[in-house]
Amino acid sequence: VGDRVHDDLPHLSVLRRLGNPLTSEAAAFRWLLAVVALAAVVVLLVLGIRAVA
Amino acid sequence: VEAASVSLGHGAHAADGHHEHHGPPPANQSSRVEPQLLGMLLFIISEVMVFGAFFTAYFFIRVVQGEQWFPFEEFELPKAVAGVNTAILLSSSITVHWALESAKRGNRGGLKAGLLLTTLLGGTFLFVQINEYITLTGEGLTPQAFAQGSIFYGLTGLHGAHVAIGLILLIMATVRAFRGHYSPEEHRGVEVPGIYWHFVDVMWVIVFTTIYLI
Repeated sequence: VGDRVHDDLPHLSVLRRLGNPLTSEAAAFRWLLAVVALAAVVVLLVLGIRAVA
Repeated sequence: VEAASVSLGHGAHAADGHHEHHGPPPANQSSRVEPQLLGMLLFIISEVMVFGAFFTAYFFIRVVQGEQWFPFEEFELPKAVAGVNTAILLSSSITVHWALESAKRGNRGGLKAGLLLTTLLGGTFLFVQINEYITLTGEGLTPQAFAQGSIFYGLTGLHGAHVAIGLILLIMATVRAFRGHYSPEEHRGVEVPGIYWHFVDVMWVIVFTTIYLI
C-alpha cells in the first residue's frame, strides 16, 4: 500500500503553502485555520443567499 | 563481487571487523513514506470515510425532509451553546499548538500548561455536549423520535466519540509531560496527538456548520 500512497499533497500552490497536515502539527494547525475561514465564508454566503431569496 | 559486497551492508563490515552490528537486521521498509506518517495517513483516510458515510445520511435526510429541519415541531437546536462549545474546542487547538511550540523551545512550563489546558478544554466540550443531550432528550428530542434526531445524535455523537479518544491521547501526553518526558529533539508524543486533535476540530467545524448554521 505504501508504494502507492503519495507522500505529498496534490501540487496546488495554496495547498502546498499550507503544508502536509499529516507531517507536522504546525501544518495541521494551519489547515484548521483555513477550514475555519472557509466555513465562515460558506456560512456567510448561504445566509446571504437565503436573506435575498 | 564488489557489488555483492556493497549489497551485504552491515554483514560485510562486521566480517571485516570494522563495525560490530548487534541485534536483528533493521526492518524492511517497502514504502517511501515514514511508517508513523503512513499509519496516521491511513487512519485519517478511514476516519474521513466514516464521517463521509454519516454526512451522506445527513444530506439525504435534509433533502428528503425539505423544510422539516430545525426548528420544527417546537424543537430547536441550542445554537448559542454549540457556538460557545465551538469556541472552547478551537481554543483547545491553540493551546495544544502552544504546548508543542513550547516543547520545541525547551519551555517545560508552557508544555505542561498547554497540554493540561487542552485536556481541560476538551473535557469541558464533552461535558457541555453530554449536558446538551440530556436537555434535548428531556424535551422529547430523542434519537428514535425523528430521522432528524437520529442524524443529529449520530453525527455529533460520532464526533464526541472522537473527542473522547483524543482526550485519552492528551491525558497520556499530559502525564508523560509531567513525568519529564519530551524535549526539543524528541516530541513526537505531543505532535501526533496534536495532529489528531486538529483533525477532530476540523471535523467539528464542518459538523457545526452543516448541522447548526446552514
